[in-house]
Formats: sequence, structure tokens, C-alpha cells
Amino acid sequence: MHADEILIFAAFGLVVTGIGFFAARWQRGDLDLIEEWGLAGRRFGTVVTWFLLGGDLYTAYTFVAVPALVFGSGALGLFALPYTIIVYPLVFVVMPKLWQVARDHGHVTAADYVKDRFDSRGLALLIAITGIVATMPYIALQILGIAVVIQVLGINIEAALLIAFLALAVFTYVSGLRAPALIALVKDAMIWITVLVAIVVIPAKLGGFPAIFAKVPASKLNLPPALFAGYSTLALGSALALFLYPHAITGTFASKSQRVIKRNSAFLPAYSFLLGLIALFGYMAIAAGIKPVAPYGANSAVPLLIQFAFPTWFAGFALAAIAIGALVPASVMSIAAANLFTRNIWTEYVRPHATPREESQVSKIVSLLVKVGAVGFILIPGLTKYAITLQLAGGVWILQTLPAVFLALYVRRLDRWAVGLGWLAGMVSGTYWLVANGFSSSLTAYPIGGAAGTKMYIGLVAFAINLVVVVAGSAIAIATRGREARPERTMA
Amino acid sequence: MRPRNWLLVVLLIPFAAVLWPPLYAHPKPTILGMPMFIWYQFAWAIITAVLTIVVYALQERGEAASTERDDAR
Repeated sequence: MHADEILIFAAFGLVVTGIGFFAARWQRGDLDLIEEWGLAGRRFGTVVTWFLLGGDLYTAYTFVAVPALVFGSGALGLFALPYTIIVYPLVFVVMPKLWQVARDHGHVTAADYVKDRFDSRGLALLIAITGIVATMPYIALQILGIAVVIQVLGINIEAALLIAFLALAVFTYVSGLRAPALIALVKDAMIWITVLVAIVVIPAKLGGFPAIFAKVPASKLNLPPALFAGYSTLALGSALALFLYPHAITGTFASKSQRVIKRNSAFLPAYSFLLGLIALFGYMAIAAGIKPVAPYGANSAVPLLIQFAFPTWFAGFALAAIAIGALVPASVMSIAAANLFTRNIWTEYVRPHATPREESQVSKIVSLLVKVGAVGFILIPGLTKYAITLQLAGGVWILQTLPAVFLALYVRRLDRWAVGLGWLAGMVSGTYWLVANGFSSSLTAYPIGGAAGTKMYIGLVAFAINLVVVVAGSAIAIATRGREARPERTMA
Repeated sequence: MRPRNWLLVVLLIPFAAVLWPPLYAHPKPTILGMPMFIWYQFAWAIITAVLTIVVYALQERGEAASTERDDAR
């Protein structure tokens, strides 16, 4: 415990909270409208969107968990690289199209789009619930990211978490999406500085890059053939899933034009490189002989490495970067989940005639409730592991919304019942394999390619089943009922 | 944009490059002590960034050109 480290950490926390409140006045709009509070009026240009999406997609949990996986399991943890390499070409093609439809029809959430596209409230409800369920544990993991950092600082975890939570909750409530967008500018600058300094200072301290890799067991430096299929299915499945997450969709919808999204998918890969460097910290922690501490295990590797390698004042800065790194995604996620609840559950089923003012008010309150749940998950002993488990499952589940959201942009003849059944098939099969695995891993062995089978990502296999049902079901529906006469207006 | 759609095929290259680990999961050659498995993927992070920027720039140019053609008509 060092006074200057804690002081710098707290100072940055304070500055960022101030920015969060000030954000309400930035690009001023009527925050009593959900499009203003929850999408910042769809006015973000290229630079803000770059920081917002970068700050939103690369979460504190990423910074902690990716190197932790490399630290603990070795090469498999590097799947984050191919994952983020292929995600942007995908975004480049799909997201401008989705943005355009959403903009033209005033959609705030993916479920809004699904409701219009398939003329089905029921299907929209499935998509909304999947999004909310996948997002909540993700928010909890952001709080966990802050907890891991605070523990290393040696201050009272409960008190510090409560303060962080209050700041986060209140500035999100007041400023909406403008707050995380403005804070993201600070967060990303801090993260880039931390990583670029670390990538020079830590190897210098450990005797250079060759010395680092020489200290890592060879088995952790290369991927064994048994994990080839697991590695690429994990990368592909995660890439397909990333922009189905409500927080990614909210960040995208908030941009002001198609061109902004295209430009961003061209320039966001800079973060993939950054993430790769962060993954290497896992190897550096091995070389530095870091001993992880309870209760966070391997997740404490990076914070401990930071304390080991830096003078206390810079460690305070770096740890603040990670903690602030949690605030941006946690804020966007809570806004996205709140928008889904308000638009696709509350005004759809509970108060169909809600005024725009009420809509925005409900969103603000739900954004608070969602975070209370997330903090509860982390503070109540024994629940943390469920947050991790549920986040793992969330990735498998959110991928099952792909046909309704992405495929629907390209294939006209999708039948809503087939898409719903496909979703069900994907959810049930994916959950079954997760349970059969005891939720210990998102890879499981499938009986193909030899006696031992082939380990693959559960989410992607479940998605394949989903897709078969959607295609076959739609073909049957067309054959029996004639072409589904869907309006073309939501096809883009 | 239509005439430039073939450009999107370029965006499939990174998929082929990184989704087939037998291609690069080798300990050697090493760069700065890094096995091929690691540096190869870093290289593709950079190459993909360059590819997406090039595709974006060419699409923009194509769009500008096609608006000019439309204007001339």
C-alpha cells in the first residue's frame, strides 16, 4: 500500500467522474428523449466513435482476463488476436447496413429492427431478453475488473467499489451515452500510454524480449494440434458474436453516418494490435515470476505485474487506466440493456402509450437497477464465479441472435417461425453442452475427426444447428405457404 | 458502390490467413525470441488494418467516380 499510488488512482477517478457529469452539456440535446439519452442523438463523428467503440469493446475484463488466460493456459489465450483481426472486416460489411435501416426507421435497439423486419413482437422479445441476459453478467465482470485492481492497491474493496459504483450510476443516469463517450477519450489515452510504456519498460527490466520468451515453457508458446479447431472456432464464433452484443450495437447506432462506421472499421484494428500487446503481458508475468493471489487467481497477474514493474506513481496511473477502463463499457452496457428493456418490454407489453419522457425515465431507472444487480454479483461472496460462468454462456447465447439480426439484412426469404425455432435450437443445444461441461470451458469435444473427437467452441456449433433450422424451416415455410410477403423497406 | 463490390473479397483474406492454425502454429522461425505462432498473428493484425483502410479508400474513390458519372448523364 503506497500513498502516492492511491492518490493518483483516486485523482484520476475524480477527474473522470467530473467529465461524466459535464458530458450532459456536450453536444446538448433533450435528455428526456431516449434517442438523446440512450444514443446521444446519433451525432457521433469518426473520432468520437473510434474512442467510444474502442473503449466500449475492449473492456477492463479483457485487459485482465486475456493476459490471465495466456498466463495460465498459454497459447490458447492468444485467440483474442485472430478474433479481433477478423471482426472488423465483418463490421465493415454488416454494420453500415444495419445502421442505415435503424436510422431510417428510428430503431434504438436490435430488437426494434427485428420487430419491424419480421413484423413479430414475439421474436423481438426473444432478441431483447437474450441481449439483456448476455449483458448483465458482462457488467458484473467490469465491476470484477475494478475489484481486482483495488485489491492490488490494498484499500478497502467494498468501500472503493461502492464509490466507483455510485459515480458510474449517477453520471450514466444524468448524462446517458454522452458520459461514456467523453470518458472513453480519457480512458483510451490512458490505456495506450500504459501499454506503450509497459511494452518498453517491462522487457527492459526483464532483460529484453528474447529473455522473456526463453523463460516461458515451450508448451505455452505454441498451439498444440489438439487445440487447432478450438482456437479457430473460438475466434470465429467470438467475432460473429461481438457486434450482436447490445453495447456494441448501441455504440454503432450512435454514429452519425454510414461513412463513420466504415472509417471506424478501417481504423479500429489498431486496437487489435494493442490487445495483442496486452496478451503478451501474460508471458511477461510468467517471466517475472508473478505469483497470483487469492481470490482472483490468474486475474490478478496483470495488476501484480504492473506493481512489480513500475514506480508507484505510474502504477497508480496504470491501475486507474484499467479501473476507468471498466467504467466506459459498464456504462454503455447498462444503457444498452436499459434501452432494450424500455423499448422492447416496457412500452411493448406494459405501457404501450408511454410518452417519450416516460420512456427515457424508465431507461434511466433501469440502467441503475441493472448496475445494482451487477455489483451484488461481485460483492456477495460466492456469486463472482457465477458472473464468469454466465458471461461465458452469454457469448454462446448472443450468437444465436445472428440470423434474426445480421442474416435478415441479406436474406429476404427468412420465415419468422423458422428464425424463432433456430434461436431455440441454438439456445438449447448450446446450454446443454455448457451444462454437460460443468460450465468449466466454452470448448467441448465433438465426435468427429478420430476417436478422441475434436474440441470446438460450443457457441459456434450451436449456431450451426441454429442456422440449419432457420434455412430448412424457411424453405419449408415457403414451400407450404408461398413466399413470406415481407415488406422490403427494412431490407436496406 | 456496386461495381466495387469485388473489393469485399479482399476482406476475406484475413479470415483465410488466421483461421487455419496449421499454417502458422510453429515454434520457428523466431523473431525477438517470439515463435512464429505469435509474430505471424501480430503481422496479420497490421496487414488487416492496412487492407481495411485500402478497401475503404478505394470504395470512397469508386463512389466519388460513380457520382461524377451520374452527374454527367
